[in-house]
Amino acid sequence: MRNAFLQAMLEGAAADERVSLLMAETGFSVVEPFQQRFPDRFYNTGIAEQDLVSVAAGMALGGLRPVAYSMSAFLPSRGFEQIKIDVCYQDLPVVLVSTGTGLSYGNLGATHHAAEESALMRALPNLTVFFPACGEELGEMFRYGLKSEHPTYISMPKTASPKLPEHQFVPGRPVCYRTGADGTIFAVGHSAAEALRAAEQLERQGVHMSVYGLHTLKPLDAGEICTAANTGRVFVVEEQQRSAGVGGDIARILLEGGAQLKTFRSFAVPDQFAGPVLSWQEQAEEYGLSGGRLAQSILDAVKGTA
Amino acid sequence: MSKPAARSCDGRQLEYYRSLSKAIRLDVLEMTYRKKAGFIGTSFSCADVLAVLYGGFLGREALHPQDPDENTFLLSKGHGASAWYAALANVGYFPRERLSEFNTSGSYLGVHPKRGGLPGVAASSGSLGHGLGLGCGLAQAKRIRGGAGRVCVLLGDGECNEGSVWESAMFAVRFGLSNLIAVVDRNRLQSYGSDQDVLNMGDMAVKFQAFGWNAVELDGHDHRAIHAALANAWAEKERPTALIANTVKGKGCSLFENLVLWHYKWPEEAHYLQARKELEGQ
Ligand SMILES: Cc1ncc(C[n+]2csc(CCOP(=O)(O)OP(=O)(O)O)c2C)c(N)n1
Repeated sequence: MRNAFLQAMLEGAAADERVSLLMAETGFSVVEPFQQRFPDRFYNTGIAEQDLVSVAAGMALGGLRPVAYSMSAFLPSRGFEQIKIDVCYQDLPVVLVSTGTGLSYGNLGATHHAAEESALMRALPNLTVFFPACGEELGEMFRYGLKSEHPTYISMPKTASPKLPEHQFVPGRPVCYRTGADGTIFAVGHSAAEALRAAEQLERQGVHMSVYGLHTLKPLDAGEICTAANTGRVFVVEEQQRSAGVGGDIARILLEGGAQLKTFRSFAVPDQFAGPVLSWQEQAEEYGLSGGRLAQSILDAVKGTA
Repeated sequence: MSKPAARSCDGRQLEYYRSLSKAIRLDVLEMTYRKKAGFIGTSFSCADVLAVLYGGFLGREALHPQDPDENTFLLSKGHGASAWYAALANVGYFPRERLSEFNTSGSYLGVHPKRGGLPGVAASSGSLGHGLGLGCGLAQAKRIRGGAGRVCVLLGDGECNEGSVWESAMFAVRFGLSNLIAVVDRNRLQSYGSDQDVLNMGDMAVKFQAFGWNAVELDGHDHRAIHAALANAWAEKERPTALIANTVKGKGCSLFENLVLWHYKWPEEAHYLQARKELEGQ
């Protein structure tokens, strides 16, 4: 996905001379072509995420269109107050981009996981929060962010961009990947790939699932969520702490909308830090977020509420 | 353990340091090559500092940070964990065979260190810019509790880009933490570029001195110099000490030295074989 970021960055800078890229010592073997092509619009702020955000906000104050790039584990949490006050409170057009969403840094451990970033970023007024499912979505989000007069946060996984069914990106709008009458999966960001895997497996077992990709976490599309939930069984999949993710928000939206549900389940990261070494796949498996584990849990829930 | 070591070291001690450095680098090479994980450049860079620190000052007894009389080591630049594990194993904190658990599913020898994961691993790290603050608190705790233990924190020079490092630097002086020693692995390479191209930290000893520290520069690959500097730091009575250890990232194998690429890269077979040869000849 980082390649999609680079391409979008190059196009954005070519189209608008106010666009510049700031990064905090991240992006080795990714951003060099940008630095070569736009040397005077490339700034490495050093290993200093707080300053990265403040400087970007200052540039936006000065009429520029800064993009601030770092890692998902460090940008939202280390730079939180700078994002809150400098960027969001002042409602400045800064595009914040991070790599390594959720648990996608896998074996690098808890310091490199970002399983709380969804809560941190969604709590901030004025900020649009995007979690792309694939490289194409990332490019679209990026173009959206550069045109917006308000701040944007985009968090991409460290993993390769998956091959997803072709789909259109409309900011704010959940992507309908498939429809089925037995239940609805809302999959956040790169969890779409695992949700689709689960749905395919369930299809072979005679269970027909709708799968919606949620790439825009803020604002959430309450109307579309309520409509999509008309199967009566709702499952939310996200690689965030359960209390940090959108599962609770979706439940609230459905309750407020008066939805009649037979089942609601939130599949997310349990309330714990990574313990021993585990790869990303192993963690997904352990936390029940892999396609196979999801299919099993959903099958049990559908059977239990037949 | 808290009594200062002799200011200078004899030939036998030097020989021991050299053998420890070599063992640490060889073990790091094995771990990164076999497990395709970890950061070899930073680990080779600090191998000599760790050899002298553990071989001459901490011994096998830096185990209980809550003991006010015990010395404690903190690896603030957590991505150098493989070197830390190798140093601990080679002075006897745990059997060397356990190094084969590095980055293995289910083990606690992670790419970044986790508190309590292994004997001697006193604190978790991996996010840069935390260790010096932890060190301040720990050094203060030892003093409040009437102990003579020292706290030694190893930082990267790039890590010192983080403002939090300098917040801690001010605290340490304000509270006169003479039992705190910061070693900066001054290899002048970070993870995207060279220090000079990034923020250019300039004369880091002068920077720490301006903050009120006792700060000296030294050759971070010269065991004798490292020993002398640590002995002086151990004897310091008033101020915290910063040792700016001039090093070469990847030091020990010509392939890895001074290249940002080897911040990230894991050796393939040809690199591995050449590195072994070069290290064994040292
Ligand atoms: C807060 C934070 N930001 C970014 C990183 C990513 N990162 C890991 S190592 C590194 C470079 C470290 O450079 P330096 O401190 O000079 O150590 P060296 O590897 O040269 O020994 C960076 C930016 C991190 N681990 N923590």
